[in-house]
Amino acid sequence: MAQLTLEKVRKAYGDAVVIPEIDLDIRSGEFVCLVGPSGSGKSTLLRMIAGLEGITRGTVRVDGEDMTDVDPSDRDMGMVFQSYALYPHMTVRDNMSFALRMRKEDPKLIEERVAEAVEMLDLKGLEDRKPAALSGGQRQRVAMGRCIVRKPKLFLFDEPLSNLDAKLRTATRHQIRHLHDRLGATSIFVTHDQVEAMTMADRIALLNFGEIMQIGTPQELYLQPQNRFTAGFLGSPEMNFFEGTVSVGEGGFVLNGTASLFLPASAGRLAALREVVGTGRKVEIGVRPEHFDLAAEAGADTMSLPVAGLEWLGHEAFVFGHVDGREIGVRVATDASGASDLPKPGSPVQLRVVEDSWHMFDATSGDNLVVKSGA
Amino acid sequence: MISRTTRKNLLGGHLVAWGYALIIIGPMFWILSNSFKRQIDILMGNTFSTPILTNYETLLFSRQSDFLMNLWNSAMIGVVSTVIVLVIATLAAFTIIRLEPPKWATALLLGWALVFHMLPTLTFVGSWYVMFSNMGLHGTYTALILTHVLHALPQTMFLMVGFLLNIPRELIQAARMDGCSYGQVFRRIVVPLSFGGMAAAGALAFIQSWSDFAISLNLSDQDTMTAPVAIATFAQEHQIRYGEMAAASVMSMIPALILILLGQRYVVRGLMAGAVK
Amino acid sequence: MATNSTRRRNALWRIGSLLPASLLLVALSIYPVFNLVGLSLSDVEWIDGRAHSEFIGFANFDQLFRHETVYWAGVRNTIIFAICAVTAQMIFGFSMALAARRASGVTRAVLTAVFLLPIVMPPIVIGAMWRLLLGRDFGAVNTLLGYVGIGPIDFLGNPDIALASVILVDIWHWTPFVFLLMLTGLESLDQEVFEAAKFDVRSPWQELRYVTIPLMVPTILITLGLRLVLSFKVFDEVYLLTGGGPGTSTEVINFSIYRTFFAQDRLGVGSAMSLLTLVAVAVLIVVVNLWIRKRRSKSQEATS
Repeated sequence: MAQLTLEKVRKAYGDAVVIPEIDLDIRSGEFVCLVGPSGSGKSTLLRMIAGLEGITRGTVRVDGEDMTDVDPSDRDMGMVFQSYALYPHMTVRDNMSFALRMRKEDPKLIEERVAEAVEMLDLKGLEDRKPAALSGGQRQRVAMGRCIVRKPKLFLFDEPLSNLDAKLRTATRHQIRHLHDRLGATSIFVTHDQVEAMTMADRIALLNFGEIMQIGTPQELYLQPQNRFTAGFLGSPEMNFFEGTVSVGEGGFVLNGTASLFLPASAGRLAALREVVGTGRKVEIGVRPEHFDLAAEAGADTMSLPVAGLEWLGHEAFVFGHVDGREIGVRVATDASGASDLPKPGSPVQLRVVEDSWHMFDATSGDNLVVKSGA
Repeated sequence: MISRTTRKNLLGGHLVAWGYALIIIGPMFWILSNSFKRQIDILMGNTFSTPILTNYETLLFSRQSDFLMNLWNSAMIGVVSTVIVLVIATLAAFTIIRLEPPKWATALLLGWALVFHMLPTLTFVGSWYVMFSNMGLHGTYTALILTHVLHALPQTMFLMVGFLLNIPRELIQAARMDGCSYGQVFRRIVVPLSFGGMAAAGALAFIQSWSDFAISLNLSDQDTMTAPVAIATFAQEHQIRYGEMAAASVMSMIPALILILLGQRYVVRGLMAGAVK
Repeated sequence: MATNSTRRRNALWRIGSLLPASLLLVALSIYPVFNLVGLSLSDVEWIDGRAHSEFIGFANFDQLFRHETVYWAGVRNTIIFAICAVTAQMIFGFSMALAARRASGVTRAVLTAVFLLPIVMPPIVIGAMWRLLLGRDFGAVNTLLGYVGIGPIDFLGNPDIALASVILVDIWHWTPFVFLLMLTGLESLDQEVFEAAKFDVRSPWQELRYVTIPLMVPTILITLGLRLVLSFKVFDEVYLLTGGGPGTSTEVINFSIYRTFFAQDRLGVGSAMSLLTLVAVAVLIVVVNLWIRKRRSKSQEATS
């Protein structure tokens, strides 16, 4: 259990800058997910924390102690690798106890710790097997056991779930979070999967091109994305975007752009954004699929969407169509009766944006003007 | 479905391959049978005669023959130089592929090793001869072992580089996180996981040392003479003793035969990997 | 501090682990080259088992270029030897690999074992064996030829055919190696390509010409280059088969070096020979390497 600080950390391979400069503070006992598309530098950052990658500039501190030049073998961090990296020539027990044996801990203590981890991870009876004789899920648990046994200051996870099948992944997600809470550990978890990040993290740090786009709780990132990148990255199907300029209308704003769209707003939001809008700057409007209502008939505040496709998922359904060449996704509620009352492909539906649930991004900087103006 | 022409081609192909196999095996059987014949039967070209062991007995146990010692020298030099080259090459290979030494160092080491591997050995033997003579090491085991180690080093190093590349980087990183220094990673992870590769590379290194003629001919003396050099001296005597020469040849083939029988897989793997690199 | 000691230990390890290999290569392969340079510019004499050298400039090279006709005969023979032997090995090895590639597991294992024999047995034994086989009066080959009314042929004693005999032995020795490399190469190709090609090609010849050979170009090039360079190492078999004779008909470079240096004790000239050979083969290695690399990248562009 420890606290981690990154100060002005930079990573470059010659001229290729992977991480320009990152500051990050992770509190003791926190579960932080580093998320981002591939190439965003999230894995590199984790490896820099672990000491497996050198740091071009900046400082890594654990509990205030400078770790920048400390060898990975002396950092007291445990890491679960994507490939698990179990030692193929050792049994499960030897794999788990390896780190403690390297530190010449008391054999009795080692035995206790391993037994504890085996119990915790439901690996009983497998102690004497080699990794080759284990299933994917069991290997994954042994990899975690290898960390747990050590009681390290930090748990580092490098996409440990990406080699599991979908069902097992969900279960393992819960298990990891549960273990984290039970051990009171501090964990950093790298993933490209937003669902993993949303479900497990206390806080998410979203990376793009080596920069933190936003850091905060899953709710903050989802509900108040600070920029267009964050808004677009989280949520599935993706947030819908419309470009254009905005003018003030009756009880809301009107987007004049590729698609003409009415954006209902409360008095507070109207007031907050009136000034921003007045300058006539180019913006992008973002509306999540669940923030459209289906209107019975066309009106001044609705947009017509010709339905091209439908995805029925049981508890919800998504309608897809194109407006001015851009794909739009809309969530529609379903009831138990099935798909009979859903929109039919080929016929249009009328959409109305839910009041105050839309976002407005500056077209050039990508900043979320709604969040910025405090509305 | 296999068409008739394909089957005919297959049959023809097999015939060619088996025919060549016969050409390989034939001479060996011939020399094997000669090793059990009296000189007179060999000279008369008698195909069949009662097999005798005289050639082997003379070769191994007569007072005039040093061949037992020659075999011992070959085996000793082979084993010692194989062990040394395996250690040296595996150490270097691990550092080269996993510990990221400066690029120029790797390029220089591997580049020169490759060139050296292909240069005719005899262009170096003269220089070694002068060097070892000046150091008073001419004809010693030390000189022979050192040169045999060097001779096998490039190939062993390339093979080990190839085999160690199969050990995932993450495994080594995991061991580092578990508290291993580089040395401990090597001992606890790399060595146990590359026994197979070391067996293949070691087998080839041993064969190379055992078969060496160009070096041993010029750097050994009466006491350190190896089996191949001894065989060559048979041919230079006034009265060539064909039976004993055949018997010596057969005995020199034994390690190769054992390796093929026991470790064909390893030898093939080593040979192929070494050639493609 | 503990942390610093780990770092220092690791830094030491990185250097230390490369040290034995590097030292050995420097002391016994790089230094000897410079040693050769020194020796080749000197008049070397043995006094009390130690070599004493006196600088004489380029006299040894002058001698080498103007008077060492045996060496130059060796150069000529080695080049003929390399070209003929390697060409035959490539053709035989490749054709047999094509023939044997669809063989079943057992057949493969037996064939591989047999084909490995010449590769792993001591070359000197091959020399001894073939010397017995090719003998004029009681060699097995002449006995066999006698049954069909040919011979006896003096394979190793007739200056006109002695080199051909040596080449023949080398073909016997190394064709299996080419075969195994080619077989491995053929088997590592994507077999589905051949199944797909079944729909397009009209004859086995077309398959060979337009599918198999283009895909095998990298393997063929590497094998060819490797065998070509390595055939300049030839020494052991020649030593036993013919000893360079009769006359200079089977003289090869390495044998000249050996004789000059060790039999005749002419260390200066021998060193000059070694050095010249070393540089020439090194250049050949680099050229072949570059050529293979260029051709290979070209063929990869074509196939990808």
